[in-house]
Amino acid sequence: MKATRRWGILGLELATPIVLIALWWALSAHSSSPYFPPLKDIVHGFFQTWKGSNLTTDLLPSVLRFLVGFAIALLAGISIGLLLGLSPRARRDLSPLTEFSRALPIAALVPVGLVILGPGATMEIALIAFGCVWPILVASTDGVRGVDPVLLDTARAYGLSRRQRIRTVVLPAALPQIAAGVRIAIGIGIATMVIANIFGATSGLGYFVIQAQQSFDVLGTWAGLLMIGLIGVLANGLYLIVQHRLLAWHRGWRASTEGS
Amino acid sequence: MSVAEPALVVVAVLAVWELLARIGVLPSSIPAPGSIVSSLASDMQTSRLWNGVLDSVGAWAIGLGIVVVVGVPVGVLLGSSRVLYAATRHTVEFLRMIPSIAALPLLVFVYGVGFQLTVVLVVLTALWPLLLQSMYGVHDVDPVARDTARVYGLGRGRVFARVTMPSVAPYVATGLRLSGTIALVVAIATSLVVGGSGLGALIASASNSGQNPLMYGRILLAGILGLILTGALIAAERRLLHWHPSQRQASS
Amino acid sequence: MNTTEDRPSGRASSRDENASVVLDVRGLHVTYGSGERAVTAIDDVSFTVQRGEFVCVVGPSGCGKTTLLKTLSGLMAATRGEVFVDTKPVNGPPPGLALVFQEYTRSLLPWLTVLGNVTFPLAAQRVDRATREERARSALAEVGLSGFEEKYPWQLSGGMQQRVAIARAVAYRPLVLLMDEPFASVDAQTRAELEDLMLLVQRDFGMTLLFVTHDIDESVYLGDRVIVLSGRPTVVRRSVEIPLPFPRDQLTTKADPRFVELRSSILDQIRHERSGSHL
Repeated sequence: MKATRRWGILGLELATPIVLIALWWALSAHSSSPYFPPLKDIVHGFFQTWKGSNLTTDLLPSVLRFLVGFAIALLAGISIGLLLGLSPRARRDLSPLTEFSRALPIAALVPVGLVILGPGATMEIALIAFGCVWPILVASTDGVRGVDPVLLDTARAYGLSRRQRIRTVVLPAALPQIAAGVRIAIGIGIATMVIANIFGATSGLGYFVIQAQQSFDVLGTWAGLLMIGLIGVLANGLYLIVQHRLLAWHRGWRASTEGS
Repeated sequence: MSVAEPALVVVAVLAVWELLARIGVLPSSIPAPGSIVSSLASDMQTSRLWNGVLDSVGAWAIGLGIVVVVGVPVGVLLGSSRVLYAATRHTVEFLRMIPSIAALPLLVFVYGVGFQLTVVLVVLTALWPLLLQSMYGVHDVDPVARDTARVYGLGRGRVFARVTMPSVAPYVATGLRLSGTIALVVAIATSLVVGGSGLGALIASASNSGQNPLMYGRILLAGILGLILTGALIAAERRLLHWHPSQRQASS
Repeated sequence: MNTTEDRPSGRASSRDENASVVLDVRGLHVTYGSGERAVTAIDDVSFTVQRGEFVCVVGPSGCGKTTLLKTLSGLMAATRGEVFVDTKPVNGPPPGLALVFQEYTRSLLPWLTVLGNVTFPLAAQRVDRATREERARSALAEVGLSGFEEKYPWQLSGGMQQRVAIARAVAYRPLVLLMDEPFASVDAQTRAELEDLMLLVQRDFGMTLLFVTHDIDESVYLGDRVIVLSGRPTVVRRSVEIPLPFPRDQLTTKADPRFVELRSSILDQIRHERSGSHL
């Protein structure tokens, strides 16, 4: 592709968000609407909020809980998914339980979490982990099942033990699928991080945002809204960076087999 | 028999659970499955429950309907022009990364608590997968097929109807499944968080009044509802995909 | 023009009494499925392969050639019979055997570079890094892929991918190299090049090869000996010595009247098998 064309497309891609933000800024500059203050004020409020104590009392705890819950889900999801992927029998026997748990909206389990564990970090982490584990588990199972049998036969013929095959063939082959599940889990995890933090909480991002809403603190609400959005974008962005690195081979491989 | 074993596992789990509850080993926060089922059974005879279910399913259906009516045409439009595609694709992907729960408090300001709020939130959340899938679907149309049709003298409209739309259909089907699944989660979650009359609110209300078995029962119902609706979506997707030779995978 | 040079004196001929038997198959019987739907793919197959021999296996379609290799490489279990690799009985994938598949693309790991793929079996055997890299590089040089070490398999053409698979087998230094219709999926020109490559590899490493193919010309061109299998249920019909001289050449060898005679005889046999077999 010609260089000028490339820059043209890049310019186009950047233009849209810039134009949208500029429009927002301009259109809201003299706004008298109570819920849509000027963007300028919103931005100012955002920095005011998050440079202050809210950073450590609300933002940090929530993010940490997300990270811990997500890590648990990652570990459990991949290992259980691996086991289920390798054993058709286990997969079949546990399928009613897994299918049902998948279909359950995690928000519906917040009351259960409250009742069993009470409000607090433990409950929130548990809920985040439970919500995130299913997409990862399902993706891991599918990824493991989908490994090309020729690849496995090759490894077997060269005398690799079962363990070696799992480590050096099955898991890398399943990685693209697992990554897709991880991405879905990130979205669920952040939403859960907020929702689980609404009831009975005394600190955290969800608590902050609901407090702001209930006390009609419009700028505070916006600050919370933007922060949650920012976390979502950053988490996804981080995922994309890691995925780009780890799965560069997958893009190339897909591209080469697509034409055949 | 292949159905017997999984069923056996479920029965075994339930039996052990029931036993532990009867013995008194379990905390009061985890009731016996028997009491959960009987609570749900009697609840299902009340109109209040079914109104709640209708509320949630209604918000889901209407929200999803709006998503389809807006998302597919806009997606097709954006996908069919190289310029528009390049200009908007990353922005749409970016917007998708924003957790919609963030918008909830603001929307409560604007819409108050109620059915409308739920529908708006459903639309805001579920729009993106279908929009993106529609964009990708049109963008990925096989140019050879399209050019062939043009060479045979088919006008732009016919090309669109005969070549573009059929090849977009699988993408739309997948997008519908993705959006539909998210939409249900949001519908129930919203009423749980803000109240109102949906199934989520009913769950919260049972929890607040300390009626644990009823709470679990309603959650069970939510899960069953999820299975039914996502099952229907998956079946619909398969139907629409079954003729498609390559059975494309969605980039979700 | 691809040619291979004169046979070094160390290369065994099948008539040499002192050559060791590196592969000994006795009464192999493979049935899969059970009860009424049981299929006997292989009924009674026995043969030996001497060290340094290039043995080709041909037979009518569906005669279980692939089943044979899968059983020998331990991917499938035999119902009856014994297999000995270097006088040791085989249970499960025997060490010292390498298998090159027909589907080369699918047998290469897409997340590893060419070098990574070639060193893969050696890494699993815990061969130290320096040694396995050195072996890999020389194997790649042997198959003509020097300079492609850092590429990914999917960046290469089909013929090149199969060369990577061959290099991987060569680096492994197996006692016997099994090849399952390895050139069936490449175009004719590439096939000719790869055939000559196998002759080169065989000469340079004194490797023992068991080469399954449906292409009779290929089997006569490459082999010291051609084993002809019957249709299902499969037994060994004939073992044909190929006394054609080395170096073999795509033009001159194939014009040799003995080549024509041998291939005709084998082709005739297979036609006979095909019409007489119960499939």
